[in-house]
Amino acid sequence: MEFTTNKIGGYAVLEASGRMDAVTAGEFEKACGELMDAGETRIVADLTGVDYISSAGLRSILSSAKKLRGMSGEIRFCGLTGMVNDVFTVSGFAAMFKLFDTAADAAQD
Amino acid sequence: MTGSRMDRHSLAVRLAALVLGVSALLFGAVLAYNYFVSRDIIVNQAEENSRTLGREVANHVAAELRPVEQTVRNIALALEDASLTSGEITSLARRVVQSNKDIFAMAIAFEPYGMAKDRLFFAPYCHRTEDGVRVTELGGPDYRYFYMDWYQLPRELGAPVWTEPYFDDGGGGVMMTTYAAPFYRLQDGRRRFAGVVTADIPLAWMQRVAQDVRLYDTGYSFIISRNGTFIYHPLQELMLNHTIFSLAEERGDSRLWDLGRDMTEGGTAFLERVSVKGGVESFFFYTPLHVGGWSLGLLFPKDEVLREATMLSRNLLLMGGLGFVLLAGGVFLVAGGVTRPLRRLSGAAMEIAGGNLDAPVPASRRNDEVGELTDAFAHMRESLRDYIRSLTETTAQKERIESELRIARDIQMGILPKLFPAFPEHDEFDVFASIEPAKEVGGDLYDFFFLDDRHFCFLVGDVSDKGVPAAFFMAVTKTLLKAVAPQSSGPAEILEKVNEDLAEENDSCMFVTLFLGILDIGTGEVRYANAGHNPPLLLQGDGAQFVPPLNEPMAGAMPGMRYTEQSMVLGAGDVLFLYTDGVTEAMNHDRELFSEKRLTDLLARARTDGVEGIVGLVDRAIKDFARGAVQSDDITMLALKFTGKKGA
Amino acid sequence: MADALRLEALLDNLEALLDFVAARAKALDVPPELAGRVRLVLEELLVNVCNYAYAGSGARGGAEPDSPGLVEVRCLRRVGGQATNLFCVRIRDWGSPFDPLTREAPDTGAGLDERPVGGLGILLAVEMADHLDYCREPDANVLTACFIMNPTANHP
Repeated sequence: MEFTTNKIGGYAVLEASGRMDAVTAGEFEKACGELMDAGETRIVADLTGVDYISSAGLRSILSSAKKLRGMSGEIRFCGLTGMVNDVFTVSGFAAMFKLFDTAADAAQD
Repeated sequence: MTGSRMDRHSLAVRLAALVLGVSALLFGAVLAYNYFVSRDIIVNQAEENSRTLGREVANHVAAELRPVEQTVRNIALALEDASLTSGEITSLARRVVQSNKDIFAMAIAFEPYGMAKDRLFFAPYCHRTEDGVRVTELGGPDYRYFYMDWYQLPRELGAPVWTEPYFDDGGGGVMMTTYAAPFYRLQDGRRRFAGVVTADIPLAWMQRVAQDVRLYDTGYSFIISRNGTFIYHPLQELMLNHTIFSLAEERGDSRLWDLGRDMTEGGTAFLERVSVKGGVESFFFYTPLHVGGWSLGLLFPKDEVLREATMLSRNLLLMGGLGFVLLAGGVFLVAGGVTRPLRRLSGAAMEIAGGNLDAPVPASRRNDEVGELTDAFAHMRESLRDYIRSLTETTAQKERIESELRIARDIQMGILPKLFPAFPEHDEFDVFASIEPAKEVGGDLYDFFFLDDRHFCFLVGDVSDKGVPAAFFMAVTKTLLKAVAPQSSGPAEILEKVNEDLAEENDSCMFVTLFLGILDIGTGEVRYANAGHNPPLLLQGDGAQFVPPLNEPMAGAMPGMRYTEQSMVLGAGDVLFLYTDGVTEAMNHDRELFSEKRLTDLLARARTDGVEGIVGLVDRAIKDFARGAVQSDDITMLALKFTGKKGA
Repeated sequence: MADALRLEALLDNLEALLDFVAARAKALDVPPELAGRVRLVLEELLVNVCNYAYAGSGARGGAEPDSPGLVEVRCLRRVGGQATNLFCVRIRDWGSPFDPLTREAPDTGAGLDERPVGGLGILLAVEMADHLDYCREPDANVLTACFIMNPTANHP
């Protein structure tokens, strides 16, 4: 997976691309951890570039979200497409997190 | 005769039921035995047939595939030659495909960098196309053949294998299987695994073989692979899509699962189960095909197999049923024939029993038991008729005799004085007598009469026998006494004369006991004599005592007897009580005698009762005592009372 | 050639197994839009096999006694009900009998805090495959996942 980060307002935007599967999922958790280490507690994960996610990917998202919650922070998502959107819906993640179309929408308020 | 002709309990029905029941039982047993034996034979035959068929199919499959195996193994051996160039290897594969119409494609796949140090893959693949044999390279980033099962299995096992059949995506959905054999090369002095030779074989011919298996009408065959995958099954959707195990789980049929396991482990068995196709009770035979660990299953419906046995049994049942109906008819006919004369006979018997002895007995025309019975019955009726006729005659005779006897008895009783008071003009004395005759004619007698104005003669007697002769003897005695008494001087002389007369012509040796007394009605003196008779009782004052006996012989037995005359004087009011032994020997049911003691006790205080009262008293006492017991002897009593009054 | 790949049941081989299925799917004309779902289902099921099939048991399935057990994936096309074309992947392992489909589904309505990490894999596989069934063979577990290839027949 590849990650780039930038900042919109109070939110750190993490742009991910590639596949979030059993092999690569740890990388997402690590990227979030680095943001948290840098003091960011409000993160927008932009998954526009992610074309595949499995339960391992969900697990790393959940794990990161729990850590942020412990720091009174929050993680939001945007740019869900194709099967990633399906997986979020089926797994209940769509109801558990705040989802937006674009990073700009997610970084409002 | 009661009930209908074919009453449920009639002999004919019972006989018929017995015969028919036993035959039905026998027939049923024979039928069942026949069915099971023929079924066994047919089932054994079916098993034998399926074994033969299974062997044929297995041999057929082996005959097709063995040459392919041999070819591939030969190529593997040839490949051990390390000097072969890649071009030579490719053309070797090409030649095999060209010359072997059973082989669709051949690949010779080498270990990574096995052919050339700079080539990861070397796996020429030659396959048949419409334009001839084409050669391509199998290996590539998208197809790392080292991991394919056809490559891995022979490498790991170190032996050739048949892979699971598959639909070839290039060959238009043709089912194929691959035979893969490892080949080795010497390297550093050791024989090392170098690659795999494969031949792809279309299985259409095998499906046709399986399809062509004809088993009875709707029987079918199927083939499963080592993993239980259906390679052939008449239900298309099962082929390659299902394993026998997934089918078993889908159907919840654990028995099928166990069978699948035995099949994939190379088992052979013959058993009964419900077929997957059609769901009918079937026989199931399976046996290994000796190629690729595959197994052949044969299923054929039971009812088709057993049709012959069933048909045979049905025909037997039909014939048996017909025979049974005929037998039933015959049995009813015979039973009816046997019992019809019996019924007629029974009817005649009822009529005869009802009194009509002239009722006709049905004629017998037979020589069997029924005929004998009819004859015996006719004979019995004759005997009965004769007997009743003779009985009627005898009864009439007896009645006549009895009536004559009754008349004789009436006459006998008629000669005794019965009118009381007998002498109302004399108040010097009083006399009363009674005779209670027994059922049989007896021989008791009594009498009293005046010899002259002063002398009153009285007597009681008892003839020793019973019946008509005794009655005659009694009548003669009485007549003699009355004739002799007036010309005699006293009682002894009277008895002597009567004895002479009776004994004279007495051939029957009868005799008579007699007590005879003569009362002087003026003085009360009684002279008396006793020929063997019971002593009379004298009722005097407050007592009763016997007049002392002399023990002199009875009259009539022997001539020349002498009797002693005795005398006593009666006081006013004294009573003399004469009786026969019918009084003292009267019996009750316990066979006790009335006895002389009872008599004296009874009469002790009866003196003042008057003669009729005294006789009545004794009579009632005897009846009370006897309580209805049969009176066996005449009971005769005579009471004489001297009043002592002077005649008017 | 036969459509089966057998490798040691290790997460290191996951990529190779998934790539093989992807290649076979392409060869069998499976529509590209199904690729993501096929890969997801296969990943979840294979991860499950790698993690649990040989846990606590000796290796089987033709591998060397001391090496990890094997897993085999086999691709096939089949005709399903209502004349639909199915693409099926059969995963076979020789581990002890285990049917992952009978495990209880996680509560997808639960909130973040009460959500356990994990348990979602089988749920996703069940949801994303059109048919998924388990069968125990005498010595192997067989999971078959099927996908409808002509969705127009199913969604007019």
